[in-house]
Amino acid sequence: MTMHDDDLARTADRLADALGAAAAVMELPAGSSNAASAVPAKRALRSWGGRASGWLVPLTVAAGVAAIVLVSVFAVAALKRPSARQGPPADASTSSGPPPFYVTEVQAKGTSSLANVIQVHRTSDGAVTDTVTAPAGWILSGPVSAATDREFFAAAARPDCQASRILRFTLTASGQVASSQLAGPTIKEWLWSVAAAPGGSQVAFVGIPAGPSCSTYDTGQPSVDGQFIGSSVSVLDLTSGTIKTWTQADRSTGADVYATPLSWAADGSRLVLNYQLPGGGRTELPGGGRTGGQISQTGMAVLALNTATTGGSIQAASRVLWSQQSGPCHDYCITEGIFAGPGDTLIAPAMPLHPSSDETSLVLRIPLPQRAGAAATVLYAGASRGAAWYGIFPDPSGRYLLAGINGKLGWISGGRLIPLQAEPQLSWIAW
Amino acid sequence: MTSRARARDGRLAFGDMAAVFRAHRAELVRLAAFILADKGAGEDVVQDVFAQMHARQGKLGDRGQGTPADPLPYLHRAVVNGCRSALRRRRLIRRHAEHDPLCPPLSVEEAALLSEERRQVLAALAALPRRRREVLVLRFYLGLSEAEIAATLGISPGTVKSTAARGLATLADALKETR
Repeated sequence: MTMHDDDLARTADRLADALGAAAAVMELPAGSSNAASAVPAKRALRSWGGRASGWLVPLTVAAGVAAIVLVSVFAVAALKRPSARQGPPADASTSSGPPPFYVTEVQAKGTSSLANVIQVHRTSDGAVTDTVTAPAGWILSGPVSAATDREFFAAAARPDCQASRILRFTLTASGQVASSQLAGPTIKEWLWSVAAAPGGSQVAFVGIPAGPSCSTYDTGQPSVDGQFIGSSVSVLDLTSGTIKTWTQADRSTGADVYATPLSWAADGSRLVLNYQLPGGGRTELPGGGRTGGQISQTGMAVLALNTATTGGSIQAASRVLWSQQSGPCHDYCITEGIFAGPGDTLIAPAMPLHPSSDETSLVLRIPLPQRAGAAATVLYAGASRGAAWYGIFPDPSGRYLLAGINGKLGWISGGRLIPLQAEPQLSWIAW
Repeated sequence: MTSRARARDGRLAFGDMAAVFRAHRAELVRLAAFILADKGAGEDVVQDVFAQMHARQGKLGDRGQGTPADPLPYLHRAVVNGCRSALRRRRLIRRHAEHDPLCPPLSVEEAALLSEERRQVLAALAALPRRRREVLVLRFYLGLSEAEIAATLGISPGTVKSTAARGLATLADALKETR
């Protein structure tokens, strides 16, 4: 094999360039304080030397300079790069760490599938520190939500699911249940989405009518893709016991509020809800949602509801944070959106539009207000199998994301899912 | 505190080890990722190295593997050795596994940020024999000198020189074929 020094020098140059560029885009988990410094600082200072490799001396200098320039370019470009993976807001060098406890709602042993028990887990090791059961005459069959690190709210229902109440429970510093009691008035619906406002003074919920066997299928209420949907969203003020309700203005459009997790802005002024676009529906394209390499998306919007209004029309009290028409995705396929942080960020499970990423699920962070071409940051990308998402739940601060993905429970940090312990058959999770 | 840990009676204190971890972990993970052509495996290797380092109470100079005040040569050796172990473990699995020729050390999203030309270079690097890959990564990613590479890999400087030249020649040939 005959190879000129010029060829080798060019190859070495290309190699240094490729390694520098790859290092610049290779995102690493938290704990790497020099993650942004992708190229070792001493690269340009080294000399190869030696007679046999004299051609490498200028090459080394050139490669070093090229690498530094490239890394600088990449560093600038990364600020605008739509898919640049970064850690979630939680990773921003905080010293507080994730919430000390998370809760899982699982089926109580020896009971019907609708009678659950809430297990309190220590985040550090997953150990169950205590359990919460429903008061006599009630069952736990709905979601649970955290207002603070130690205060949680869950949906309790009558065994026939014709009425619900909010169960409030608090934890001690060691994860023991300090108090557990029903709060607020009785609600004549079955609660399928509950979100405690930061501080715990209000609880938002989506209620749906249920049949006597706790099923929505015998009420005529539509169920789409296995998700239960409603037509209104309500906020219960726990201090006064009053309930404000916002309703779909025109039911004839067929649009509805998804009963996916509701989420609050950190100041408690706005509530995010996911909304089926009128006329858009969740019509999937032929071929199981993917055709010609394209993924179909649902027609949906993510709305921010101003909870200071007195109730009435959802549309009148809301503004659109995100929207997409049904049909082929032309960007990411967003499946739902939730607030994180003070309300200036939308967290959205999504699918990428990359032909080779068929089995990839993404969690995106989208800065608000949404603008055309606004960059989305990939907080997590992982393999998915079919119905991948169980859900994503920010902690009350909005800085840490609890996620159920592909049957695994964990929290997202530095692009990875840090596993958390839980029983296999989960109904709900929160922290 | 500089990026290099201070020595205290021949040992690294826990705080110093933490500083070493913070200062060098990312660089070491990338080194391992390039050698293994697998970022996740690289993270595991580096994690193991630091865990072993911690278990040994930071005695870095006790086997002539570096000086206590400068743990980097030790860490380079440990990561390269860890990569070799990982490659041995992976060999049988790899025999039957699908290999992604696109850009082995990176995720799909990360690879999408690189030009096709750079992806080809990384794929060609990943296809090199282990020794040649180690030498080229230590040289062109870490920027180590010939002598440092020789010390890290436990081979002679002459072998480093010839291995680097052969590795670059193979790489150049492979890249010509992909044009």
